[in-house]
Amino acid sequence: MMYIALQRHAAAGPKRALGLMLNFAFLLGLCSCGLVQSAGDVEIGASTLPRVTVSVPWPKLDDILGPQLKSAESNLPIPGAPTSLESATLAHVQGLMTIDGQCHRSVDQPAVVAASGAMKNLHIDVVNCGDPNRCLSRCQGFRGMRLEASIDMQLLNTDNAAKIKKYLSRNSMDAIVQIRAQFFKLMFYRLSGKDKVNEDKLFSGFKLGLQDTTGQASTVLLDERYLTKISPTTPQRFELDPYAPFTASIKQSVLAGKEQWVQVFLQLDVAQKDLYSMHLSGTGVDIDFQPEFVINAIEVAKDQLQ
Amino acid sequence: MQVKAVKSMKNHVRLLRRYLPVGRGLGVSRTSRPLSALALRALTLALSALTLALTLVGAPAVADDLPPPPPPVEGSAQPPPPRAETPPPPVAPEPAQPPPPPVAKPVNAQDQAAPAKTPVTSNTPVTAKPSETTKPSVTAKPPVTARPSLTAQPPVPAKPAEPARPVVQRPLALLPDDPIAPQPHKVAELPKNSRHFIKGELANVGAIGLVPWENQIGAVLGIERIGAVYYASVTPQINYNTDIGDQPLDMSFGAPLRIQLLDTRPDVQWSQIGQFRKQDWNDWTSYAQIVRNITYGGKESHVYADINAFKASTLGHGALLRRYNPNLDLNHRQVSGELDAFGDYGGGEIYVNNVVQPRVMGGLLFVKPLSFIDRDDFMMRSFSIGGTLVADVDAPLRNRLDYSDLNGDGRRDNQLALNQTTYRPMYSAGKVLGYGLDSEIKLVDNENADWKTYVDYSMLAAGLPTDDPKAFQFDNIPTKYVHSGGFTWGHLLRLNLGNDPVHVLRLRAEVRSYDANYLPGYFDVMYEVQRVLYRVRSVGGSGQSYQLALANGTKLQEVLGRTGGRILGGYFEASWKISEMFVAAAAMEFNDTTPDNNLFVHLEVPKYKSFQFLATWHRRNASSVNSLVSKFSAAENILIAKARYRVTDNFHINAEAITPFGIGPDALFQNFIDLNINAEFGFGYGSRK
Repeated sequence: MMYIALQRHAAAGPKRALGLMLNFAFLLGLCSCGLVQSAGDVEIGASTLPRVTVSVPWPKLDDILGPQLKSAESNLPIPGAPTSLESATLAHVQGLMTIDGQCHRSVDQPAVVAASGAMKNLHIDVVNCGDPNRCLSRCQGFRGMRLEASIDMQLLNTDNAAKIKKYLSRNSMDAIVQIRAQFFKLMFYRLSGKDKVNEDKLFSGFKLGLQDTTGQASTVLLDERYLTKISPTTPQRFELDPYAPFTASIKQSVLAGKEQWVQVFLQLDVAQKDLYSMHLSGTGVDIDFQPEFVINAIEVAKDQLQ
Repeated sequence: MQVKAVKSMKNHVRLLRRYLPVGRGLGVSRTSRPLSALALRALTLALSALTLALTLVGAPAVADDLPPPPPPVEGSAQPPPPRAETPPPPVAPEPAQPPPPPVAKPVNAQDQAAPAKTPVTSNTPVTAKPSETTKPSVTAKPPVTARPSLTAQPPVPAKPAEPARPVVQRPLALLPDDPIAPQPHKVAELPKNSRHFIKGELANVGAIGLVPWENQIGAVLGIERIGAVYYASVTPQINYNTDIGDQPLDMSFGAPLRIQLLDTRPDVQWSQIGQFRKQDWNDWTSYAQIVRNITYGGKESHVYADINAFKASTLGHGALLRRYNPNLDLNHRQVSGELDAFGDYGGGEIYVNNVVQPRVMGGLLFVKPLSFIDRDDFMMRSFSIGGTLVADVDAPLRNRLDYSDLNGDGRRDNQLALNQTTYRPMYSAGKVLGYGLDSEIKLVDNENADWKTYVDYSMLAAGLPTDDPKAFQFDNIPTKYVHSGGFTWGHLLRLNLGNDPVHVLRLRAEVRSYDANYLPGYFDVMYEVQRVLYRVRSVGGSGQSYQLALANGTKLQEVLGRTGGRILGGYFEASWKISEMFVAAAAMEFNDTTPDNNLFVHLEVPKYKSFQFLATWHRRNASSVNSLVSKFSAAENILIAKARYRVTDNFHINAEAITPFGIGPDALFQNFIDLNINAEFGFGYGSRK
């Protein structure tokens, strides 16, 4: 039909036929603009960025409180106290910390062995939010024990950053459409023999997020509503808040082609009534997620990045 | 006092008749007059109307002192002239037997290319200078030589085989995938070979497509986007237009078939290319979309029936439902239905936004009680009292957020949850009910002018959530009943000036006073979008305040949840139409308190040679009158521009630029401009009877 139309216009004059073709091509071009633009949103995931798989055991209580339960102030054993708390519950920990008058205790583990991904500097804080509460600013009204952990993770190395930067449609932050993570596993466990038993129900106020390695800028990635939904068969995606300063700082690193270390942090609360049910020995958290970037890459073939 | 008022009214009627020598109704031949004479008459009539109003409120009746009207002259013994709303009497025979129409100027190619223009035929009741002796009956054939210049030219055999066609406002509509679609409002079809008084909407504001005027069978090929997915679309379609009685009957049917091209979600992309979009036809209700339009008559004609997939609709004066288009959310096609009928003693209108699954529905019933006293007097006959009821029985109360990440993009708390089949937002529903009373009366009704005034008091009622909004509860939301009201006093002036071409003007002005939690025209042009998010957002956000705005930003909560003092507002609208060549319209809606100041500008070429064009720009929800023209591309604004060009008789190109208010992959309403083009192939058959 188009051919017939062109023939008729050709009869009227070659210029008119040519004009018609040009107009049609122009309009088709306009039509396809949106198509091309959207086609440029490309996900950079598993093939480019390393998947993060790590199991973080909670530190032994002796590591938290000291093998001889020394007083933090005097560094002397506490009279009448047991010499080991390996089988104790969090209630015992809270009691001892309250007697000792400490708000929190920290454990650092510089070297971390991850199944996949580069990680280091595991830091764990046990915060006493019991009575009397000496950690009011950190507990913010919560009563019980709060566990906080953070671990440094390499999100991008220089090769990956340069690769992403290379294929951005434009050298601006809005070309990085999304930074997100797909979680395949996020389970708080307690060892029961060789099996891992889920202990998600014993705590509340869970949140997991990312922050810079100085701990200044942070953003929460997911909270306890999603814990039960994450499994290897039902992986769940979570986007970094696109308006958070931390997210902007990652985008800046990509644009600069620099490697990027971030700190994964998590926090959970064990309410006062559950302290007797919660052991730290033989417990921990399994984390398995795939970082992903969605970028606008108009000029690149999808296969080059995926 | 009442007797005196009625007596005075009759004197006014006599006075008006003195200045209105010819019939006042449809179907009565209307004559042209010099503008100066029109102005004088308008002034006289305005004074008369003012006097009448004073009389009705108890002031001395000036008209009582006027001399009696002149004695009846020839024709006065005849029955009163037909009423304005009376169906036109039989007209002169079809021009099968008359000679070819004489024209005032040589017929050129342009004239021949515009068959819809009413040619001046020998039996056209055109009078050179109307006088009081002019008979109002159209059955009395006026002299053929009413305009001497007409006879001075020899008859031009321009298309002698085609009967003269009345001026018909062809339906237009806009939809990216549907270049052929009906017009929202049609002018009432009137007797052939007579200049009729054109009423109804002149401009197709709110329509979303262009309609060919030919009887045609063919297909439209193009690319369209639904939600996150681009499709190649093929829409076989057939159009048929004819006349039944004096009214047009237009029908168009089409079946959109879509083949997937690209899913813009990164996980899918081109992996499902070639798949047929089954969702278009997955249940029995989807088969309603085959009907593009079935339209009989025109808005403001005695009977008007319309089943339509594209149009915008108004109920009554528009105090509750004005230019509501159920298809502004381009992801979801709905076939609306409207039925209007009225006579001298009353009438009504019924509207549903979806003939298969009605959600927004309304009705208007009115009576004309004074017609029982004097049906021949246009004032008495036009006085009406009516009641309106409009409801959205599925009004979003609180939007669901995408906690479950239904679209798999990782955005959860900061995004609306979308049904991944229909791409429509998911929400907890409530109900919004609008109801009101109104009354109107015509002040002037002659061959050149039609002026009515009306008052309206309408109310909105709904249930508002009483729970903590920060709890983001989406089921079993507790509510409390709230209601609000608003008063409107309006005028509608319609003018038909000139003869060839006829310049049609339509002016509306309203003064409004209403509660803080009331909104005039609640069901408006943006309702299909704003019912979900009243503050339309085209960019995302984060944080609890943003999530609260997403979840609780429904129109129901935003409007009916307002507090504050009474609001004063106004509305002006003007439309101007010249034959089928050009239409322009503009309107402004404003108030002194809320960011509900609106403006639209509309330009249209219904049909000029091989070209059709329509463009509307809506500026919505400006914070003040001053800011109405400051932000062209604000998120709430609408731009609809569409052109159709006939390359050959069988091939048309449709181009459009629109702000597609579907929800995009990021689950926000998009306000970027989409540019689309599609090809329309078709073969004509037959012609309008």
